[in-house]
Amino acid sequence: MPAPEGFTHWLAGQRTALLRSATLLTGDIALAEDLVQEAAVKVAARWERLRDEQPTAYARRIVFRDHATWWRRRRETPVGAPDAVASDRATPTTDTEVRHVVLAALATLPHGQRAVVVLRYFDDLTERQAAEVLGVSLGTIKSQAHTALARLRDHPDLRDLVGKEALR
Amino acid sequence: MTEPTLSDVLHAATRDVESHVDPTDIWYAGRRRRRRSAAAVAMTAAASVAVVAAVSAGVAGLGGSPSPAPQPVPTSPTVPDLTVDDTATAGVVGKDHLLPMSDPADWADLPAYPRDLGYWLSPERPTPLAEDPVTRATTALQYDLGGDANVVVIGDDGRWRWIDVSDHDLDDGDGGLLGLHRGSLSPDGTRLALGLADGVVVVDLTTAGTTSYPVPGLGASWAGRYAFWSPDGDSVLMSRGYWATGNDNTFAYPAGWRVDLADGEVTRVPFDPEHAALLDDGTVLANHWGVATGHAWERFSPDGDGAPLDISTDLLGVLNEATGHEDLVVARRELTARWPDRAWDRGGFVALDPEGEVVSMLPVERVDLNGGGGRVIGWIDPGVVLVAMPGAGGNPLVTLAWNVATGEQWRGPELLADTVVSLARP
Repeated sequence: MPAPEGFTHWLAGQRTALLRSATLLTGDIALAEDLVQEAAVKVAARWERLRDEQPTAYARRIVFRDHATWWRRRRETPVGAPDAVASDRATPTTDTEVRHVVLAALATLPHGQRAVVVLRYFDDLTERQAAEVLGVSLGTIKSQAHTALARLRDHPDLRDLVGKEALR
Repeated sequence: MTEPTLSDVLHAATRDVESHVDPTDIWYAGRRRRRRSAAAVAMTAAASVAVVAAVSAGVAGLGGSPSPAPQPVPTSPTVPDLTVDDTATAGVVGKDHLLPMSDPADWADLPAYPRDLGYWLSPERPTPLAEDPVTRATTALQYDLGGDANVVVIGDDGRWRWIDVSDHDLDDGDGGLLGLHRGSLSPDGTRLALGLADGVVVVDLTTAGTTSYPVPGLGASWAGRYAFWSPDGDSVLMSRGYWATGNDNTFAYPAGWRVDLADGEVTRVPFDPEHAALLDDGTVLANHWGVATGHAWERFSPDGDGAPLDISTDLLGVLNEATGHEDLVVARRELTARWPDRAWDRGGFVALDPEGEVVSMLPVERVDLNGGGGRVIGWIDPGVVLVAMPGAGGNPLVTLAWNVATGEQWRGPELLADTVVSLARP
């Protein structure tokens, strides 16, 4: 059975967005690629059920939950901070430099807070949707978002990029 | 120039990240996995119930006539006051209601329940139901064997029967199973209602015959299918999870469906059966919840008339898995906040009267904020409810029989966390 057109279109349209989200979540593009591939395979295995529903929401849940499982098994800080950014803290100008700053800032967050930041501010989900993806209560999302933004405000390079008010 | 937002920066940081995963490769990987999974499930099932011969599909009758498209009946949740009303007492647990804390670590020290409830960790040499139907069943269980459902019942003779569900696709599309839910065994123990993607199938346990009833509009199967018997046994109420009902701030417990078993007619009910207690006289205590409205309770008379019920739960403890019998309702109580002046308060299981007044509260270690894995199983004798909680090692769960009036507690069967149980009415 050839890949149905609907599946091909869906994955071609969503794969990059899922990978970018997973990259922010993990801080590791290779791991992100693995997570997205695994989620896509699970969608393919259930395509008959998912095609008329919300395959992207399902894939996102798989990515975040698989990563949570991976992280818990690893039992250590999820990712190391990427290479240090310039010591003079010149404002980054290229996307690569911005990525270094962003990933370094996100790496200071515990896994749960990091996931909430990515879902809320990158994937643009509502608090309720983020709660569903992560399988936690609405209150947990609110409190983790609040704490995460407070931590990010303390990250000088990120603060330079977005300004303090944007982290409130 | 406007400062970039956090969202802007997150997008900029990944702008040059591109995925080139090949949809065709992924598709075939998914197909291969599906075939391997099916093969593994078949082997697991064969090994687990090797003593069970394959049985015929039974009477795959389609007794229910096709139903007209259901007309949604709007729920009428009242907008609750999200602050605690000092004058409201319903639903508010006081210190006086609290029994001593129950610790699952002490479960083995409890006396065994005086009546044998059976061994629930695995089926004991089940006989195909078609070869040996029951007069009535006391308990129904669904075991998840790696994605394959094994549905069994314990007859009132104490012996196990295996239900052939091979004609019904119970895959929920999300790695879980549809089928049995806690309200699936009929009150008299003679029929079983299994939720399917497109409706419900009712198994007559006295004959092994089955009747399928389509329920239009159930939507995404990964949101689950929950079947509950009406106390009179004349109809099955269907529900599904709220998480497939919206994609923004509109999430709410959905209105359920009523399937009249006499003619297969499907109508909507103005409450979510998953979040309602069905009392023997036809009264329903329903918890409406929505992102915008919070929790609000409503009592429906046997005639269907609804009236708001002033149960204050939002800030003190959310009630879930409410189950009624005679004039009692027991629910799992999940604390959502710890208040400084209520430091003594705990999660666990709470008993209410039909007015929502608290009768008693059984606090349980680790069944605390957001539930902690506790479950309400059902009533095993008048006034005695069976609840489950993670055991000392987490899984299996341990069950505890609680006499609501006297506070007495007994040790019940152990239960694997992914096993679903439904009990007939005592």
